[in-house]
Amino acid sequence: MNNEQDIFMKLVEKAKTAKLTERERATLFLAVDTYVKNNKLKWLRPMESPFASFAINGVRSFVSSWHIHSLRTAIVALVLVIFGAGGTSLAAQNSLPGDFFYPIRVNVNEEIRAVFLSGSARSEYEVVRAKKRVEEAKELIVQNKMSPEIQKKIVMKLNSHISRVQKDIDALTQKGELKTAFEISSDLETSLVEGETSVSELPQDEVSDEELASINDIIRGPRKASIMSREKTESQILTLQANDENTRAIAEAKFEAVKKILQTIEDGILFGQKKLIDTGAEAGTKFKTETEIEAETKTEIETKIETDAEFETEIEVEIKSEIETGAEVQTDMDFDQLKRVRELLKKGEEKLISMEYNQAFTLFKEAYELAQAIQLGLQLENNDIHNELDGVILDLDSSDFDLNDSFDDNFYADEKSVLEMDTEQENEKDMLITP
Amino acid sequence: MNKDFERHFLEIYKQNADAIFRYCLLRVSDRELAKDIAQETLMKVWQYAQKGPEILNLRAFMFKTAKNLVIDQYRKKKVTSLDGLMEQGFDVGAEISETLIDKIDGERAMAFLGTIPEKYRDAIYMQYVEGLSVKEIAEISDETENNISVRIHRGLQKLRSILRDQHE
Repeated sequence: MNNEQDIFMKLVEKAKTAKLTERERATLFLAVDTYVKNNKLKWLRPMESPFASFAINGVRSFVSSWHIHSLRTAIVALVLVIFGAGGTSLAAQNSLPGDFFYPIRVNVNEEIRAVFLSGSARSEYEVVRAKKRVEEAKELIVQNKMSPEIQKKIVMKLNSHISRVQKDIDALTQKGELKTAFEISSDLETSLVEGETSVSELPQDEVSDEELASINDIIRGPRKASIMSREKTESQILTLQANDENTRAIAEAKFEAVKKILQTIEDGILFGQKKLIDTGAEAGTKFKTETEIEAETKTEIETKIETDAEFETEIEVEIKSEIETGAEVQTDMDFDQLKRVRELLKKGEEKLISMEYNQAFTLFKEAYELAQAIQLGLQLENNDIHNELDGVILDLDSSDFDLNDSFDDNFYADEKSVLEMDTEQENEKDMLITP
Repeated sequence: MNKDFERHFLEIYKQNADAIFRYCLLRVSDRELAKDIAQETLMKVWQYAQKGPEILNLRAFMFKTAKNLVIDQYRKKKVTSLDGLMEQGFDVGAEISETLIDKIDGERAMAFLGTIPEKYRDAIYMQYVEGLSVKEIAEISDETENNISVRIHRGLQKLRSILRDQHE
């Protein structure tokens, strides 16, 4: 009992060590602090004029922004200075590109925030801003408010955030702070990739393919730039051929990246399986409906029974074969390759533990590339399954498999009249026989 | 007074950021998702503070908000459950032994604590890992203090029985 108690207490102590990393904590604090500052309690809000802090903290940046930003922004800013800005800050905070207050949000509120940050915190903030621009683009698309002009502006803003981050990364690299430079470039890449993923999750019935393409156009360029930046820092670290904290950072980041892709792959497999089950159920329901319709007519046209049976068999075979095809595609997915990714991860982890970071990185990189290839293959396969299974449903609706079409009105009429004639003849016979 | 609240909020959330994150991690078994929910929790609490009545126990309220957001997350999207992890070969139970206990990390320890049913797990976690009182746990869980005491007792029994089985 005491032993169990000891283990339990040790477990509790261990559990307490599950914490945010310093970097994660800093990012969280920055996000929450920013939120708190921008969403003051009602009774505090009149204090929240962005110009109050401006006045105290220096006119230079204001003058600079005055020249940089549009005349409209400047005029609105002036009006705010004169009449006070209580509440306007909030209005700006919730605005979207194209809204009247949006320039205040981006060119004043956010710029002020950026002015007070320095070093990596400022870069982090620019990453947050880049993410916000993507979110705004998404929101505009959902609200059906996106236009080519706004899209162009968002791209410009996004690029400006990224170029600032890139500038900081270059400065950090020059100072030899490669680890921080790498972490910032990774964060930027992650937020843009997440942005792209979240776009693909937008409800398909609300967003057209063209709209999706437009938002992907917004993200694609910056995302590529962020990947290049991260790869550049990675190679700079590797060129030094040191087995230090920098190498450890890139190895660990690569490890996390592989784990994320693996998760996506597993989700993809689940998605494929779900699709198979759903389609099977849908096809089954349709098939049942068709069969029920048949059942009603069976009493009227007995001769059709054999033909029904043929159709039933044909549809059953079709559904079964399509579902099996889908399942085969799933099982055909190269599980050997997936196994290889996991092996590489395991080996890499061992190298991490034995502090051979360079080798760990190489193993993780190989795993990463392989996982990416599997992921791409799976996406294509899932699309194939999607199309093939949708085909089954369409087939059930189409003339080839529509039992009603096969036994159209004319057919029913003909068969009915034959039956009626037969009956009449039978009756006539009966009448003749009957004395 | 209100400025005091803001200061108080900033202080409390910074002190409890790890705990909130850890609680989310316990519930969703996904570090990235846990970070997102923790952030949303803190923002929601601040948002609530603007509209709702006075929050008497900010720390407990943060846990309660986190708990609700985790439930929302479950509703929105499938969250990788511990069962799912175990199906993938993540056998937390097999990893815990007296000799290995020192080698496991915090996340694995959390996963082990998560092997018992949810209602016991939350109560055990809040009392032993986060040091919350029975009264606070009752408030967070919308349960009576008596129920929470029973859950803690039963949860401990379950954990002990798992540990005992491993030694046999």
